[in-house]
Amino acid sequence: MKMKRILALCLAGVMVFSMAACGNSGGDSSSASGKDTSKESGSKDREKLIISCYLADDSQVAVREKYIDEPLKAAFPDVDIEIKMYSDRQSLQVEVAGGGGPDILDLDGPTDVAEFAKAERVLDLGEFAEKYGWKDMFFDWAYNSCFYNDKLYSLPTSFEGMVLYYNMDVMKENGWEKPTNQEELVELMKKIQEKEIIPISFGNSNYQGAVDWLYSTFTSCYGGPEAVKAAMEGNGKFTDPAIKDSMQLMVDWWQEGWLGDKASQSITNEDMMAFFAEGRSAMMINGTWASNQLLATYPDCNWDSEMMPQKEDIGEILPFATGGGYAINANSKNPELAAEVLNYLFTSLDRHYQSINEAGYQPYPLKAFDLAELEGMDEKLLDQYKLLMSAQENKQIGYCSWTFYPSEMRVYMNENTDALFLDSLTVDDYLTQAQAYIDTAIADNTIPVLP
Amino acid sequence: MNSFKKRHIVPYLFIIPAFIIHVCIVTGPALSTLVMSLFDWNGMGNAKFIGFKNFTEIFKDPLVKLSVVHNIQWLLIFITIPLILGFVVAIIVSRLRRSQMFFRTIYFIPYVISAAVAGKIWTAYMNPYYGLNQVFAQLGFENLSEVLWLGNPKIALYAVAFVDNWHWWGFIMVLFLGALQQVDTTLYEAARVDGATRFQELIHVSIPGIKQTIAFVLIMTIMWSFLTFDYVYIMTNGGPANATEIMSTYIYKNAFVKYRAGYANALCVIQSGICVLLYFLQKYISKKGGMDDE
Amino acid sequence: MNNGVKNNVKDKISSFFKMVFLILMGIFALVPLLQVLINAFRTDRENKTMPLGLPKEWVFNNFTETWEIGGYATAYFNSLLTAFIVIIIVLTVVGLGAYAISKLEFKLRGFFTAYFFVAISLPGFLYIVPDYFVMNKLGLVDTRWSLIIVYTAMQIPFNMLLLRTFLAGIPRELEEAAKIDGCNELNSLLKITLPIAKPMFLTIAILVFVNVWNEFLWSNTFITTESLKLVATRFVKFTGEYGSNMARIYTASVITIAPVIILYLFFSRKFIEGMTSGSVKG
Repeated sequence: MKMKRILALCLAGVMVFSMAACGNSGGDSSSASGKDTSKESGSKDREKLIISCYLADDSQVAVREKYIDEPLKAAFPDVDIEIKMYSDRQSLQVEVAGGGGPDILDLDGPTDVAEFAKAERVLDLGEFAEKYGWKDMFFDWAYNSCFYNDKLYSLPTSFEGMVLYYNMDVMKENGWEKPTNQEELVELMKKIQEKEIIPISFGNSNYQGAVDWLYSTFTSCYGGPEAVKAAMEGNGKFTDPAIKDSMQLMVDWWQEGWLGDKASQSITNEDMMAFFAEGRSAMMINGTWASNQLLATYPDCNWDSEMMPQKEDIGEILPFATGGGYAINANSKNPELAAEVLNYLFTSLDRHYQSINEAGYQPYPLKAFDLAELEGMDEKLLDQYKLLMSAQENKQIGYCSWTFYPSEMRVYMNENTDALFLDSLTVDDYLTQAQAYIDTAIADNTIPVLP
Repeated sequence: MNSFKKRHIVPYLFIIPAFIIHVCIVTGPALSTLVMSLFDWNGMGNAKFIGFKNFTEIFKDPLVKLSVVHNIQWLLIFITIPLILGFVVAIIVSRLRRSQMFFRTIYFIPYVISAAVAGKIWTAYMNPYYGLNQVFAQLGFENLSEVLWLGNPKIALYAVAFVDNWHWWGFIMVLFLGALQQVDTTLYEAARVDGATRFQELIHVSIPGIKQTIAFVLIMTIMWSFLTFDYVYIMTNGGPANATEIMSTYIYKNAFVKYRAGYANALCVIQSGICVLLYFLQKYISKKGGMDDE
Repeated sequence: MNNGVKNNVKDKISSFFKMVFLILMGIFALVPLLQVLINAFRTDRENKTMPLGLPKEWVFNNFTETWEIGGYATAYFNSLLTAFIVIIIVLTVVGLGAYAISKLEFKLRGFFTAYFFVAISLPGFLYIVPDYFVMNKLGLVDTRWSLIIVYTAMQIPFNMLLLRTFLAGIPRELEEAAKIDGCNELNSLLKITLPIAKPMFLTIAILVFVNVWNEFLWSNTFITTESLKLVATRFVKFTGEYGSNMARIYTASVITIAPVIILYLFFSRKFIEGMTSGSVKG
């Protein structure tokens, strides 16, 4: 019994001590993991590499195995590559904070990567970027969005945008035409509502942050990308009348019942999609990623997607985003290998085209990306890709919050947009607070780079 | 002499294994993290010492106040409804013979279901388009059918509390039932000889017989009301517009959404502080009221 | 005589209403769970469009598919093994501890009681990072032991206090009598208290089992190897952030829940037997 007690006390002592060490400086624990590396490489075990990924259901997993797991295994036969799913941020964050975690982290995009970079938990990729010439591979806007504090911390995983989906069956049945500008859209929504159909489907009860789809769309398309860009670069303010009006417009539309029937807080994301596909609503503001889900779950739904109907002086705008960012864990025992794997993913284009073509993956934001390779795939998806590419060429780029807003500002807006809808917060207060976060980010030199 | 000494050591030998396991795995590490409440820390790496700044911010943060108010509302709900319901049902069920096990099992089942599954189903029931509202509409209750159970900031907290109660009261019932069955039957017989009614029996035999369990359930309810997390997190995640924000969801958000782990830890200190305070307050009141559980 | 008949009628009416009340509460408890079961027999699309009600078309292959994809056979084994070991350890240390703080007189009794009450107020995320950190250093991460150790520690405070409350109800005279017969404390615990308190230990075992079976966060964080994963983490395979298959989710829920309910039904029989045959009343 005595022995046990002493042992246990020692264990407790170790825990408290090591925690204090871990808390005081990140440098301490990274040097500790450095020691592990030397020990590991001495042994003759096969190298192991873990890549984190987002939660996916089984059919998506099967697809991923075909287009990512297996090609990786073939390309790196000497390495055990495992792809681990994370259901929520907590597990991943705990592992990384606790000195472990996957080698390659698939994060929510630049705003998210920034937090890991701040904690020095992901590596500066500058060295690898030079070695592999990544700078010239990616579209500039996507590549530049991955910088934090003037250092490259991640690589953009996909290329997506916010569009307006139409349920064409509902539209045809009622003899409605797709609107070409904002006024026509308003007229249309009034008509739709008279028919007791929800004009634009929206629900965020299981993921409140889905409001960022809305405010990103409204600020970019109806406030204008110039206004947003000026605010982020310090040449303007987020409280600018143009942005304010666009936010007010969003709130008004919600309160009219045009966005989610005044019940969006009771509707889940799945409901939102189901209502659209089943014709309970006529339109839906959603990302280009949603097309794949529509095809998989509701194959008989006759839908179409366009850029948001334009506002006179702004023109058609497509809010852009990178879907996520691959970063390399600072705890990784083999960062060189991780970088090599990343480089493989972005250079094995045949594999990539196949995954888009057959499984509806979102494209990487690569300059070498060639639409011609995708001929023959599902028409609707191809149309969307064409839309994305042409918007890029014609500089009709808008800004999604998860790629182009400072992290704290996005968190604030995601949490408080519902309060605008429910009238417990004014647009003025909301934007003033958002501007405060921009000011801090500019002062810290952590503001994202906007194209 | 030797045996006297031994008698004094025995209780410690009995309690120490549990205590040590718990201190090593839970309390020790938790205390080391609590130190981080004095830091500006995003939960992963470098931290900056900022003294008591997190704490001064807590007292200014309107959301903290709101969360505490919600926790108190939660407490008021949970200290009445499930306890009364559990107690009444336990009394009725304890007098049944053949069907006792049947009811006891059924009422306990919701407790064994994970919150993730139960929360999902109940969210569907509370959906305005295909949930219970459709049933209300068909029955002609127009007003009821238009309620947004989880979407209306004034109702959402009660709606979630309702679901948590659904899962919780059966557990309380089983605890009471177990205690009731331990009450010495000769006491009931004696009461009957004295001509006591069922109600008098309840007051003079049953309740005193299970007062330790009542005290235990009370204190657990009080503490858990400030710690509750899963149903709120799964069903509303603190929304809509913070209408169901409670201490633990707010702590979770700070730690894992806002990357403010230092601040979250400071909130934890406050949360644990409230619990400890309530524990001693309850103990004090119980002692005064003769409901001491020792 | 007349009065007696009246009373009898009154009794019958009141017991009828009591029965109706009990049955209504039973329906309230069971309907949502039946819905989960029913949804496991519907198609994905039907579940998404109309999650409540009876299926328009019954689907039966959800189960076999889900079972295979989820790899539930090994997961069941892992969960059962983990739960079993945790239950054994918890019952041992909690049994000893609760006996001490409910039956024995010693100086720090008040301190230990208060400690376990206060311990309940420590949320898991306060110690998850340091625990992971230390276990990572000790090489325990991704082994069964990591979860067994952590679950044991987490289950101690509440069950300790619950058992203490239970044990306090057993008359001390019985143990005193045993001691006069020459038993030491351990013997009197094993020979006198334990047999009487068997149903209570069973209750604790069930509560621990339920918690271990349903726990998700820790097992998802500490275990990465497929063959070591527990049932609750298998659930993740079916809940994608986007475009998840709802039919599979409900089926997985049924697969996850069923053993707990079956086990509970099985044990509750024993549990009642223990209750009625125990010599507590003596």
